Amino acid sequence: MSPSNSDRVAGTILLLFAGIWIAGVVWTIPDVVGDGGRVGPRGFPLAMGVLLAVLSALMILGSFTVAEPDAIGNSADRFDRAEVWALISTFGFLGGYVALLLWFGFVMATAAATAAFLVFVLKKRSPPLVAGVSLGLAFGIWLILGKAMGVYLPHGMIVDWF
Amino acid sequence: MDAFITALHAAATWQVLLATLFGSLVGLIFGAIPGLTYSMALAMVLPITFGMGNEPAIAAMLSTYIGGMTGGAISAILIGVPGTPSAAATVFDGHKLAKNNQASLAIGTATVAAGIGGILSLVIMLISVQVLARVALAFGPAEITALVIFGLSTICGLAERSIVRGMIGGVLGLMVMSIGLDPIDGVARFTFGSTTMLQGVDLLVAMIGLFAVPHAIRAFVAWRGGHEPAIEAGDVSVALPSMRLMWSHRWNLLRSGLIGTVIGAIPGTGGPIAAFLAYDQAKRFHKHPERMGEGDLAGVVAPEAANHAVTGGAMIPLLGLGIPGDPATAIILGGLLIHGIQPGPLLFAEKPAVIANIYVLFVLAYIVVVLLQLYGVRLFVRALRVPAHLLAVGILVMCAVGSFAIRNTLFDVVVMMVIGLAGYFLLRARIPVAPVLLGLVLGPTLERESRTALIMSEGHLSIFYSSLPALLFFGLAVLVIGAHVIGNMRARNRALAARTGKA
Repeated sequence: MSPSNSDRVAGTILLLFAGIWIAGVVWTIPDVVGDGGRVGPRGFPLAMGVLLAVLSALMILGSFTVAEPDAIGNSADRFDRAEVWALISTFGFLGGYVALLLWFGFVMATAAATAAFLVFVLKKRSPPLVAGVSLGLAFGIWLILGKAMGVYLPHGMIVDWF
Repeated sequence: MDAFITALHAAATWQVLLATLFGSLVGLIFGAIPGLTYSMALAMVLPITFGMGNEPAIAAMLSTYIGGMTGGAISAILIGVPGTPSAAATVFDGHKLAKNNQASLAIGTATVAAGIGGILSLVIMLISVQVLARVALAFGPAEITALVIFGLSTICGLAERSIVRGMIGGVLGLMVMSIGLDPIDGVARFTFGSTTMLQGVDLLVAMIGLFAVPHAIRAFVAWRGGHEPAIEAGDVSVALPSMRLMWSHRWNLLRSGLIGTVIGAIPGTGGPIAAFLAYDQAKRFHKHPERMGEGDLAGVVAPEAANHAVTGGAMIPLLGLGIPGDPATAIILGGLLIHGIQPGPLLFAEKPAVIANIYVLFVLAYIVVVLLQLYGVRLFVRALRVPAHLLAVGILVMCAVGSFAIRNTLFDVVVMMVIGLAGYFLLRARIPVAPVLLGLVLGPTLERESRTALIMSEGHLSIFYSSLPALLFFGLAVLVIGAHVIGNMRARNRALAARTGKA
């Protein structure tokens, strides 16, 4: 995708978002009645929605008129397989980690999630590396943040060992 | 004076020293590793400070900021890749010195110059911030609105190449901060009936998502694509420069320190500009300018003194007016607010002890960072060798821990994920995330003060142009935006002309 096309796509998505935002403001936020001069709770988000719509439109228009010198010939605008893989891996890891935190608490969830990520996603096959990173992270953070600094770490609903 | 003595007592506790050590270590490691920024380090350290008292928390934040700035020089000198953008100018001579087997002296000189630059900026900050705060005491809602708009105009400076994209980022930040209970009438906005959402999106959760998650994704992309940079840095020790050597650079230090402080005090500028300006001036005043770029210590002293002087300079608008000038000070502002400290003129009038604490902790942070850099450089070189994709795993875990720790709810971890994903897509669309951060930080103040001003004037907009300070700030905002628009147009025309010429 050329930079101009990428700008058009991004601008259109932002314009759509601004439209949905404005509709959401009008339909879900009540305005103050009876005091004509006042800017109610709707005013600020509505103004921001309109501003975003204008700026998105400018972005789309700009893609037809002005070529950005630094963007010309920039091939990094298209998503490749590595990027899709990285996005799925990152959010898969975070999603799974949140679920494990909820059930098993910080130490077990961190050790299990990082070990699984290292072995199955990053394809690390060295047991010392996998054990070192996963247990080091889990117990290191638990010890330093949880115990020494008093930061509250998630407790599990099923298992709550630490 | 009493406030300073009390502050010295407060700083001499093991909690403060431990927090400073921790912050310095994290900052130096994040600063030393190219790709990790001190803004990211600050976003990760902030949630950890929640369980601390005010002094240790401020110490941790300041030392992370200063450590991050200082750590950038290590990779700049050793491998020729700046750890932070502020250390980019240090590469020219620093890396040449390393190639000439003078890496130890280069790191030692950079560290000492950094310490001197930082302390010099503190002295200037001490004088100027008081004056600024005294003037700002007279500000009402209209003036504060104008001031915030001036603060937001610095988005242009953070917008990299396109002001429209920068403004989109800023507006998105303002929109996110309008979610939750409205500050005047207490009406729920975009909460979808969720009680958790009534408090809105937490500033720190958003910061963690914006800064750390996209970095982790990029690290995985680089690893998967087979273009993760392999960093080869040999063991190194630090050689302290002699007093005579540093004395020979006294004017360079003073000039660069002043440049850094002034640039730092201008919102939206920051370390890289100060470092390059100082480097340029050092070359101009050098007896043998042809030596600059070939491994001259003056080329290390100038950028390092200047980019560290930025730390004190950036504190001037932050403490005096409550306006952050760059992403790092925006995060510090967020942290101070969470600890019940509202920077601005009232802080000077009502809590002078807090101000004294900040000054003392600033000096302490510099001392600890300099000592750590001098004696712990081997550790930071080791950190440089850790593969980026493995570091990214640790960063993701810290993102989750940090987001959870703020309000002890996994809901915030999910919010962090959503904002992280959005931040990544924004970056892919070449929309910078620093303006989003500025919008997040200044959004609530802008809405509260502008609405209060309109309530006071019964809806008349004249309140915004009937006072001189408000007009001055609006004028400055217009000036900043105008200057950036013209500058961008010129740069674009030059680049297009160069391309046409080549073609």
